Amino acid sequence: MNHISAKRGLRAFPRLLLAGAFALPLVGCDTDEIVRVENPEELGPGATVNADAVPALVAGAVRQFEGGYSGLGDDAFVSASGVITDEFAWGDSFTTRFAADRRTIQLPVLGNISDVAFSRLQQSRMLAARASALVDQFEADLDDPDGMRSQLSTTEGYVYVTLSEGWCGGVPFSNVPPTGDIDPSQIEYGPALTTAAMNEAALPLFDAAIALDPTHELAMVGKARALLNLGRYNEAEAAVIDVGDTFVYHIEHSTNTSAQNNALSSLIDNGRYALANLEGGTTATGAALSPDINTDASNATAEGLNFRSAQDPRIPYVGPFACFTTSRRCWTYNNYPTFTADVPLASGVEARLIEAEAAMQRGDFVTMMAKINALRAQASALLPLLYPEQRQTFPAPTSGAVSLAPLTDPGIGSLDPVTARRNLLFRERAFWMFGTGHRQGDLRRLVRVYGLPPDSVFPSGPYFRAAGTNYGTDVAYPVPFTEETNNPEFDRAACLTSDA
Amino acid sequence: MKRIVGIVVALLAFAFLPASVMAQGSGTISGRVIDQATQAPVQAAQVVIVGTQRGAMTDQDGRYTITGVPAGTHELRVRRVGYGSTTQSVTVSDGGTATAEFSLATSATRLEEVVVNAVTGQEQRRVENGTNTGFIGVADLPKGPITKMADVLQGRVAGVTLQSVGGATGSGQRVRIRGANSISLSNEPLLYVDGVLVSNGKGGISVGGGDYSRLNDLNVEEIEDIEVLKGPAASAIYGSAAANGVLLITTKKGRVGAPVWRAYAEVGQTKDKNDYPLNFAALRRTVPGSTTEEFYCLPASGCDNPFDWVLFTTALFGPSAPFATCHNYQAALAAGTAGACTQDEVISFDFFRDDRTSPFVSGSRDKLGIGVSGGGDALTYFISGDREAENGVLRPNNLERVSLRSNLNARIGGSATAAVTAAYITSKHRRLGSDNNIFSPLIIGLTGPAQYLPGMETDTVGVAVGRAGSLFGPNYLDNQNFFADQFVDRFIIGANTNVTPRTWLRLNANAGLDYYGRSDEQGLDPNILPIGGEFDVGFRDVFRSNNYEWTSHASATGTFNPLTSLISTTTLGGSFGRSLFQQVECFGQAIPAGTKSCAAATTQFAVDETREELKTIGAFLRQELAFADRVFLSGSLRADNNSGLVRDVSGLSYYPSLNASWLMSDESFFPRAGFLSQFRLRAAWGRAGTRPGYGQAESLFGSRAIQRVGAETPALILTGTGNPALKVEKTTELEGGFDLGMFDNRVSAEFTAYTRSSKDALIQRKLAPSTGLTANVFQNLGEIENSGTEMGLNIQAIQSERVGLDIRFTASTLKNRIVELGEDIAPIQINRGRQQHREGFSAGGYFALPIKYNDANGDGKLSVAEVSVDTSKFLIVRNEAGGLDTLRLAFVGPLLPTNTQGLSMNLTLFKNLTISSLFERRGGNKQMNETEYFRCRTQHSNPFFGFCGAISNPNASLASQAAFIGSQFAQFGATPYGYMEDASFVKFRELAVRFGVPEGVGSRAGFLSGAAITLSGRNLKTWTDYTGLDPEINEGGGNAFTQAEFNTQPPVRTFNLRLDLKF
Repeated sequence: MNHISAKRGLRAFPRLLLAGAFALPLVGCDTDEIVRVENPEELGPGATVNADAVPALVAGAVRQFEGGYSGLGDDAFVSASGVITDEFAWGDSFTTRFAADRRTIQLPVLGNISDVAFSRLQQSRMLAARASALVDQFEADLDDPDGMRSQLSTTEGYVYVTLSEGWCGGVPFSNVPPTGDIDPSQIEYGPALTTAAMNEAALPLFDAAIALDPTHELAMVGKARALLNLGRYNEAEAAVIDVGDTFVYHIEHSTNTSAQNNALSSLIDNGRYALANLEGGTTATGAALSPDINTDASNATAEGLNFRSAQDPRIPYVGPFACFTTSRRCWTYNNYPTFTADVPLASGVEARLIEAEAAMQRGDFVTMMAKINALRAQASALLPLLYPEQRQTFPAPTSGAVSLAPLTDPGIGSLDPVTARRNLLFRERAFWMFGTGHRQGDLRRLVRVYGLPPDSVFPSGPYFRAAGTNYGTDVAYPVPFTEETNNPEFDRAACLTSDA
Repeated sequence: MKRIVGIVVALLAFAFLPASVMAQGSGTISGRVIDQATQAPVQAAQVVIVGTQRGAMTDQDGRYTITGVPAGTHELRVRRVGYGSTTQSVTVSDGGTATAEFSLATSATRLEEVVVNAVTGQEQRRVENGTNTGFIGVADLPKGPITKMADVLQGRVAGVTLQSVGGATGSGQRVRIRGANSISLSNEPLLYVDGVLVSNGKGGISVGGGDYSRLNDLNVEEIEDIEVLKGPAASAIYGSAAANGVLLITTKKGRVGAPVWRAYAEVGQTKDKNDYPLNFAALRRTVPGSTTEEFYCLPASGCDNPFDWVLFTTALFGPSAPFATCHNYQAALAAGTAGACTQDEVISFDFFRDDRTSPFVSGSRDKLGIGVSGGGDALTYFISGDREAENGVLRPNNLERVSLRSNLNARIGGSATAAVTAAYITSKHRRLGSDNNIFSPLIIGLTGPAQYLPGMETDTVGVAVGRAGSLFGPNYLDNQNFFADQFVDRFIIGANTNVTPRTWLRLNANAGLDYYGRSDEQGLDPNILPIGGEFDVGFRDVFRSNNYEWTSHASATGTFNPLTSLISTTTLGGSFGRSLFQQVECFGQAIPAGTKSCAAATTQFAVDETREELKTIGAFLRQELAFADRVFLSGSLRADNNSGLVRDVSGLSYYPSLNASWLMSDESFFPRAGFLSQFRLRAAWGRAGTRPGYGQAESLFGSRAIQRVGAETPALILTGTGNPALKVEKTTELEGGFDLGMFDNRVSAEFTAYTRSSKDALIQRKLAPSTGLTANVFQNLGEIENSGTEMGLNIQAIQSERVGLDIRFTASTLKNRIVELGEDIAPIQINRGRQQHREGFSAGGYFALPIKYNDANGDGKLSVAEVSVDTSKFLIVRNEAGGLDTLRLAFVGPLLPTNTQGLSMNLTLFKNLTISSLFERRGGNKQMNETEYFRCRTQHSNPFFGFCGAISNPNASLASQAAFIGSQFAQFGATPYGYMEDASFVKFRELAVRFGVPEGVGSRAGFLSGAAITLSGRNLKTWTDYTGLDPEINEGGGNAFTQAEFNTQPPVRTFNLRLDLKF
């Protein structure tokens, strides 16, 4: 066996132990310091606690709201709210978009096109709270702290309004402490808010913004939009009284990065969506229209408006082209012809239409028509303000100046003047604010506030892009599935997507 | 860094303490080792002085020399793979040379083989080790059927499972050893090449699927063997990233002797031999007398538009069309029932086997290499260079790779050795848009029409409404206009030194770097593919990445004899590792034709930068005791810290291990049964970790651009939510088993049972979006268990001068279970909700609403009413209140096979003809046939095209019809249940016929000393009930658990012809 001297081995063994005892304390050194790594491209929460970081944090809150509303080159509220209504039609193979267009929202566990937008809107709210705390902390070092506060307050207000219009009436709002490290163990889960409660929550935020900046027209329109959602028409009218006709707040897009592209433009360019026409409508057999063609200008039973066949200068378009699924045909919306086209979030046009609706509600149809026709008379001036990159094509370019003829009060001589005036008003809203994230809120108001059956305003009947299938009953998007499984306060039963 | 240096210096200092004692006189031992049966020299046998680190390797003549041997009597042991070990005493005088000759008998047992620990640099005989370590003698494998590194691992070691991404050239694999431990982090084993930790990272540009593998950068021709440390019981000393096991890859070394040159050349052909589903249309006549020819073209259209050439159905052309579709579920209805119809005509089209449309071509591969090895007592060398090229069966998909290696081993004086290994690999891989990609030829064909349409085979650029017969627009040839290239330049360099200042002491230091620079480039020239968007204007997308893995270890090992029959080996050491990944991306559109630079982009320009760094420092102590060369005990403790944790919160992580091995058959009391020649019992216990990744412990903000009032403005947003309380995920493993040698060790068997548990499992739990935080955060919450058995059987069935037959059979079982996800953690959904991490079930198992069917009238067709929800399969789970909830969900099956078997045989005839084969069977798991799920659902909503067989093939199986109905109709919630199919299979992986030139012929040829020619095949046959493209391919190769085939290219069949020359 082994012939190494046992004696020598035993002599050496204590030496080794001695040496080990000498070395081991060194092993117990500050290893945290040795393994510390830095990444200059990203910042920990502590690195954002200084005055220099505050403007970027304010911009971060705005960015996440705008990303949730208009998109970061991807689906967001504008596209999602458009496809579930009659504005846009499905053009690709994605089951999420198919489900939205068909008003048969996928089970939350499978995800929906609205999920990312939901998260971004909530992130905006969290960032706004964090930025607000820092504005307070570094007020003395900031150029315009009140301007930042009003901006953050308005942004947060729009988050509530957007969530109320796009999602079910059971949206939870949770919070983490706005200062210090971000630690998930400190989450405070909040209860779900109803559609009305979300709009109520938005009002003091807009009021706070206006109090800080009495000329804040974006906050004024936002407040009025919330009040309209609550059916408080006179207050809504009062909120926008100081908003000028030419005011427009744009969510700005650029080609600086792909996330800054006009998402709707990008999605349509990719054939994901088509500009729809006369969606819905029931017939005895099959779809109301030949599959995928829906060019019929006289589909009397369609709930959807004739956005294409009306050939209205407010909704220029070109096409058809092949959709993403090339066996389908897609029409391109030409108010956003490029990825740099800006999206009007709020405008003087919206303010005047709110006034017209308030007038209608109090029976002042003369004022209502005057407001509507005043806007129509200014179409050639207002459209370039709303949609600076608009291309007037139907599908060939139009010649001459853009104009909209004045309308007469449809209630006069009508057997159903209430319906006629309401339809006119909502049609004007639909055409002026097409593709701006207003249509879903309007259709839900028609159900919730005006009392119309959902299937009479949302597309219904045979679904035109999948033979043998029908439109479903959904009018809103669900809170994402991850809320259900991670927020003990959340109640899925309170989040009904078929409830306006 | 100062502290690390301090640690290393201190280790070296203490290690050298006893070296101050002057060395005694020494001599030399030399001799020769031959095969007992054939008397032929045995090369590459290890000759070592028992109880020391001193030894030598035999050269091609079987000769060896050990210098600097202390004067005295020593026990000399010889061992070689495939032979039983033998020992003899030899006495060395001061300044003299002793001779020891050995004659080795072949053996099927492997107990005398040596495992080299990459951390301690220490050699340990397998018999001393309480764990079951896998071994692949790569140098001895027939190379012909092996097309990439992953092929070496497939089916050869019990407990090692490779999950193939697909059949595209350059595609990768997932490697799983004894199941999957970690829900949210990597389950890949660590890779060490000659003691240097090397990366198996992924990333880069997604082409829809077809993920690659950096494992396959390694050149099989350079590898001597691979040791597989299967889990924490064996890998504890590797620390906080070793919970998934370790692959120890050893490359070839030079041997003392004259230069030996080896060269080979290989040519091969690859073909797609898979079956693909047809596109069908079943039609009823609406116009009496109409025939199928009529609906090819709408007569009034002139037939000059591809969309005139479509199914002439009422869905498209109204009630006047001569045909309407009549699907199986409609034909299943009783006559007179609303919606019932008769299938008057059925047409079908096989896109992939029709010569006009098939995208498949013959692929090819070639490989050649040359190497030289040799050296003297002071320095040995192995130098090689190889080049390989492969063209896939779909265009454009190819790979070119060049590998260079230089291994130098030097003996410095009588007490030190040094090794420097250096490898350079460069490759160019043109990747194929596949899987979830509308340009994938598979998706184009599988969603195509039920008939040949004129124009399908041509690239009809510019057709406004898309291409003939294409659901999404692209033609199957369009992908040739893209390029998606990956260029890799990789260096793996390592240096290792062993100093033996005293016979009882060895110092080892090891350092290395694995670096790869990777450039992923994707683009399209403008005006080539005018189908809209970026395809019109052209684009370019580039990821330039650098990845560094630094490895350093230092250790000192002392070997003592406290008692005559007891050997004690103590190792103390430290290690430091750093990994750094840097990446810059650029993207831009509207590029001038021919440009290959983002700088030429005129719009949509984007840049991004990534940097991820991880550091780990560790110290370890290992103690081994050998009693009478029969009982072996060892224990180790490693302490680690790493940068994935928040400072001052987590502290050190400790990884202990214990193992024991008892060579019972050497005990005097062991009965000497006639057939039983060796019996060993073993057991091991150990713990290893899985460390958190970069940024998982700390919340991070990142900057993004936003345009405000026409100007670009920086905006800070939360990019990651961290958890400061994060700890390392720890996996503890216990294994035990035995090894048998029978019939003079011509039959050996091994059996191992193991159980392992991962606690503090890092779960990437979702965060409620209402918090405004990012989507996920890591938490130490869960517990996962893996348990199973492994069995190996080696039989030298025939050993005669003319015929030799070796058979190796391996088998394993696996039970994987999530014990706990964590309080309030809901099941985690992955893979479009098809798979879940759910407590009580295997990680990533398949779940779905179950359905059943009953063809009551036996007509072979199912109506919707004949399919129903199968409530008997609903899950019943315990709720928080202690009651039971019934879920409208069934557990369908696991994604990992629960049992595997491998069978390899080597038949040698007349010494010169060898036939080798490898079969593998897997069973017990499921595969998601997402291809068919998507195809059936998508085609059904597109009346322009054909339908999957379940919809319109009157002979479709009932199971497939039920699967479709379940996926399509609202009452079943679009369940994928019917598409989660049994993935059991048997595959004939390899066959090689090798003819070696008989002895003597080579010498007559002059310079040649050996030659062999090998004809081989790979992927020769699959036996399976799985109905999709292939039961083991995977669109989600880069993900830890996602398993589904989704228009994924199945494996191809390869035939190779190879010539080996030795001179």
